[in-house]
Amino acid sequence: MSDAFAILDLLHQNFGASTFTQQPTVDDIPTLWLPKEKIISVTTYLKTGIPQPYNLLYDLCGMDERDRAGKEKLPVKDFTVIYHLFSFERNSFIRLKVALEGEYPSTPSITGQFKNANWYEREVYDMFGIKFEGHPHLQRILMPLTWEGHPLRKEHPARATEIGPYRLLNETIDREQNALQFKPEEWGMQRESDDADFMFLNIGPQHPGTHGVLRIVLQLDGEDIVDAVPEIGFHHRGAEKMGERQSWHTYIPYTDRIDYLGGVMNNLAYLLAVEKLAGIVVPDRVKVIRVMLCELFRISSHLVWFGTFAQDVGQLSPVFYMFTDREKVFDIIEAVCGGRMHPNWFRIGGVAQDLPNGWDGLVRDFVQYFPKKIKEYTDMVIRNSLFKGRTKGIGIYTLEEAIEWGVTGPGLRACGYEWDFRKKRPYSGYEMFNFDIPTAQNGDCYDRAVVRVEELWQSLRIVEQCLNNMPEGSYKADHPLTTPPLKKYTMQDIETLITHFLNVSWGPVIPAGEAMSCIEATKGANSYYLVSDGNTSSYRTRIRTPSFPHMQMVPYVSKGYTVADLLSILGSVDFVLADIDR
Amino acid sequence: MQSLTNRVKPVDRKPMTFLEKIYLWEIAKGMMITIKHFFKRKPTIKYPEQKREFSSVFRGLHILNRDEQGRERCTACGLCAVACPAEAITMEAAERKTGEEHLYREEKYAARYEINMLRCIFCGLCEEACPKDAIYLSQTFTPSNLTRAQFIYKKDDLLIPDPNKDPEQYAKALGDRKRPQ
Ligand code: SF4
Ligand code: SF4
Repeated sequence: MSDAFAILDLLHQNFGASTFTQQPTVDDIPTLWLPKEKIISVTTYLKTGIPQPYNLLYDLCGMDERDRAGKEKLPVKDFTVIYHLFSFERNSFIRLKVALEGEYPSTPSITGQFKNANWYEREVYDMFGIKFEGHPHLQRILMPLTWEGHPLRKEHPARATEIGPYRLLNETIDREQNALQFKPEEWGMQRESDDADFMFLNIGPQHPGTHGVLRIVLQLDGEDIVDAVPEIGFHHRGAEKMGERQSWHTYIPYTDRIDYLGGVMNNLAYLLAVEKLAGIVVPDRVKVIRVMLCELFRISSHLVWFGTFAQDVGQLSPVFYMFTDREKVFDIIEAVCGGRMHPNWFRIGGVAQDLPNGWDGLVRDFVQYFPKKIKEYTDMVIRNSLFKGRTKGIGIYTLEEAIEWGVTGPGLRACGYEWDFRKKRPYSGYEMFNFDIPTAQNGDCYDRAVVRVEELWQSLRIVEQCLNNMPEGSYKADHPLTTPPLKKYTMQDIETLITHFLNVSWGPVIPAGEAMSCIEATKGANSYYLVSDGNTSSYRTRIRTPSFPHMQMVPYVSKGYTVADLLSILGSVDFVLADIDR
Repeated sequence: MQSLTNRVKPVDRKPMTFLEKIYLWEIAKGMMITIKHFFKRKPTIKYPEQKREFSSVFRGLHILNRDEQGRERCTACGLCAVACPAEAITMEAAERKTGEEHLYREEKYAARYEINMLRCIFCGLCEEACPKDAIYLSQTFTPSNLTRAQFIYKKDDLLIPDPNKDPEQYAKALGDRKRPQ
């Protein structure tokens, strides 16, 4: 990991050692505190001033530090804005923190440096009330415009029952309706050009092509899209706030619901961060079980995408066949986890139960059955020239643009860049498996589709390797923080029973610290950045989801195309609204 | 950008042939696939006449368990209620009196035990928390109901039938789970 810290010397040389305060973290990401006046020059330097630059703004989030226990040891003030930058060429992260003082502080905006900072800064403003000077349009993004208060501030109530009953009075209706009215001027849009009046068209919040509750306001010149404004937040459930209330253990079911097509993949992203904090190393059997379940979920998620995408561009049958096959994946998942879309099956330090008898038969059947299905679907959809006509050359972005906007996952690989976190920063034992990274060249809708189809093959390969090489051993780590401890001991020995009592009632106490996980989820890079102040629940849970930056990019890639193309673009991006809004 | 590893797999990108460019042919081909599927085995089942099998670990409706002698296993320790992320479980404990040993296995028992199925997310954490093997999630769905009140399951709705009085129903409710684990 010495590589990751090599950047510190460069920064010290350029900005003086006194600018930065380094903070040790358990996830080995260099973490630097710096004054807010320096943030623009430092990010510019990291992005453009060095060889192997930090060219991806991976995440940007805020944090309310006022109640944090043990904060005296850190240069914290009332609020912190945290920047995660990533360098592909160095394969390393850097975490920058800016401490802010005051009730509603402000800090310079980095939208000039990174295009995708726009939505992230709006989110921080929405959640904490922190202002970003120089932001082009600092407006709430997840909460309704009429919302009072900023939800992730510690004084904001965590549950509806603390606010008092909600009443829908006539005035409220008027106010809410008014707030939903789209005003083009606010977004710097003209209502007409020299030779045409623009039309403003709402797509959604209820529209089959948006795959969920999403509203996109289009500025149209005839059929052509001049500009678009996605409006998100309809699916916002406050998952990050809940993380501050639930214990480390009882938060696991909530993670299922972030990318609800990804199932256990969400558990994994969360638990990898928790396990880093707790210092748990899981046995190999756990790793392989986890990988197998994750890849099954990747297959199931890609099948949903595949079917709905085909449907978006006009093929009505495939979605039925693909959902039938998804059922086959779910049969395995149900037999193993007991749940289907919300398996809630990984645990701190392991998984909930051991694999059931006969699991291998189920998986083997599927591994034998599925290849001919992928071939059939490839013939039916990918080879179909109508499908090609609707997707080739549509929604193109280049690799530079993808990185500028924070695109990860299949969308990035479709631009010809073989970046896969499973390969490049292996976690949970992915280094033990053989698989390839599918890539395409053109970065259009068609290429994104073929990359995902190829990923089905690769996932199947991984599942097969798990099947043939499942290690023996325990399904839980032997560690005091493993929650809950192995039950067969609980029933007999009092020591374990007490641990069991404490861990499932108050929850395990995770040592103070900070850690971020990073996994290749079904749709791109998914991370949980967890801050513990040594309590039974997290002090701050930050969920970086892939769909959020991907949706932010949609207006940029859809300009100049027609409304019908927009649906191809939306389908090819493969987002889940719950993953965007959290 | 140059290749980072040799593990890349470029995808197939053949240009369209003439036949493919006449979309009509493709439509016919697509229809053929659909028609072929007409003659395949139906993947759907005719619910409610026909019900699908659940796996033995399926997390459905809760059951409050009894031991072999028909005594309630729950000792009202409250672990399930605190472990529940959705706060769906409410209970009241009572002391077992002399003469009630055939009803309750432990000295303390749940006089009242309610689960709000509208809150419950069927995560199974209550089952995992229970040290007495007294609650588990069974292989059935929660049936639909007309009022909210009916979704609050009382102890009577949740208790498994007595194995001595009604062994058939007991076995049915127990499902094919192996327990205790
Ligand atoms: S299944 Fe989960 S949500 Fe339902 S009662 Fe049990 S712990 Fe609560
Ligand atoms: S069901 Fe189990 S966990 Fe819940 S109160 Fe009874 S004994 Fe305790």
